[in-house]
Amino acid sequence: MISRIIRSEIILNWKVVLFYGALGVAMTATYALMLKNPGAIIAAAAILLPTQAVLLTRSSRYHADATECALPVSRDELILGKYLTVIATMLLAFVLVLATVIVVPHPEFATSDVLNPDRLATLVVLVGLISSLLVPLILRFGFMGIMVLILGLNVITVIVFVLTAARVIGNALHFVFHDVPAAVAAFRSSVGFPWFHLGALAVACGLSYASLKVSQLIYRRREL
Amino acid sequence: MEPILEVCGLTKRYPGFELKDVSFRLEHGYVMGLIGANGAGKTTIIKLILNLVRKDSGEVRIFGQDHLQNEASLRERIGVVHEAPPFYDHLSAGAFARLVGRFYTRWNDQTFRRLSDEFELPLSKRIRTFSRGMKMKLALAMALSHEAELLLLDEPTGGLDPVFRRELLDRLRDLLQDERVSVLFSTHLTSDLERITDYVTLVRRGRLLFSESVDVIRDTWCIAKGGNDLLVPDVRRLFRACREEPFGFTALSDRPQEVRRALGPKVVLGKPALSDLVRYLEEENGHV
Repeated sequence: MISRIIRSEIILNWKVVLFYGALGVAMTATYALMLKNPGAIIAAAAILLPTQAVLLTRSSRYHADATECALPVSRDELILGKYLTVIATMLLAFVLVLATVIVVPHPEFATSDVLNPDRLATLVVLVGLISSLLVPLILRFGFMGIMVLILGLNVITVIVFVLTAARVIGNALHFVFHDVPAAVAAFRSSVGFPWFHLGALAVACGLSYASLKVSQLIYRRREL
Repeated sequence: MEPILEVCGLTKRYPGFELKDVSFRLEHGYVMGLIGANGAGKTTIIKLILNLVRKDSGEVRIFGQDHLQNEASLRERIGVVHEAPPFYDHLSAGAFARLVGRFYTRWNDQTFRRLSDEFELPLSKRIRTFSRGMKMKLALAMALSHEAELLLLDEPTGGLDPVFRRELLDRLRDLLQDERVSVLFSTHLTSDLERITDYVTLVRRGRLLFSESVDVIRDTWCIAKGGNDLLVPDVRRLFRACREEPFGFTALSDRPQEVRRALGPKVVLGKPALSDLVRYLEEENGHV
């Protein structure tokens, strides 16, 4: 049944997948040529890859949720199928991004600077984190879910800045951009290769699994 | 034999609307009309049966099983036509049917093609080019192509012109001849039901008024017509609803024998049409 859901999603959304896939490759190629920092290319790819989740907005656009939920398939299976479709298209886009970075060599640094295992592990965790936040919101709010995420992140950022300025909490920017990477680097040097990279993969899988469970819970309670 | 659909004490509360304590049962091979004015709660009942909205209390049993248990396998045996069928209208009708058909183990492509031919549906055309009537026919063809034993039709004739409605109902009646399929047919256009229904369930403002066979309804209810001078308080009490015109009254009663006894030949009694029942009971004040 899951394979039927995935197949249906692909039939319904292949144009969207192609469009965003092409857009992702084009933008990654542009970044690869323009950006001075290999880390920035990874960050750009981490933001672009989860946009594949936009394919899930089609059901709400066509108000077809009731049709889907009247099919002989449980809502949990439906959501699992949608997650697997998004993950499959993200993997496809990921391969395209890798191919782009290899095919379009950067004038200032080598491909291996971008595609080293540590950066790829970071990419996997970031993609896992962003898509885990994005997919439940899209399933709940449709296309507006993307806006809700952007707005929500902005609101949280403003709150954090205000709290930091008021000295209620410590320096959030310092925490995010200094303390966290330092802790990750310390962890990486203590466990070594390949456990750090496997750990990153496990974190991404764990985030996706938690996100799936949240989405299933939301969708089970959703009234159509 | 267990009823194919049994609804017991179904309750759902929304802000400003409450569907309360609705109970009825649909036996194997019969057509039940679910009637009531717009906003009476018909669509809510169908959505509750399909678990598209969550019930607050009550029980729904389909094919003898709780509708929340084995939900997916129960839906294999149910055909649904929504009030405004939601389609992926960028697809062609044929592609959409293939997409949906994959989910049903008993999907019969030949049946679908035969019905599409009979309904004159252009399967290669995109659904967005279809009229509302064609979309309804497509939804009906799909609902009938996976050997469903229970059809839930939510206002399938709403918004269609009379010619199209009649054609659709004739087709539906032909398809129901074999009595393997049971149908719950919701509509506010009661004239559509007169020709095909065996049982009628009437809801008004979220409350069940009755759920009876058409024969029982015809025996139970009557329309009385007479002069206004007959409308003394004791007589008024026999009527559920009464319209007074300068030239006489027309009233609905569920006590025809008492009306006959009280008024004798001074009153003309007739069988009410379903539309009369809905219209008069909508006007009725006081409890049911």
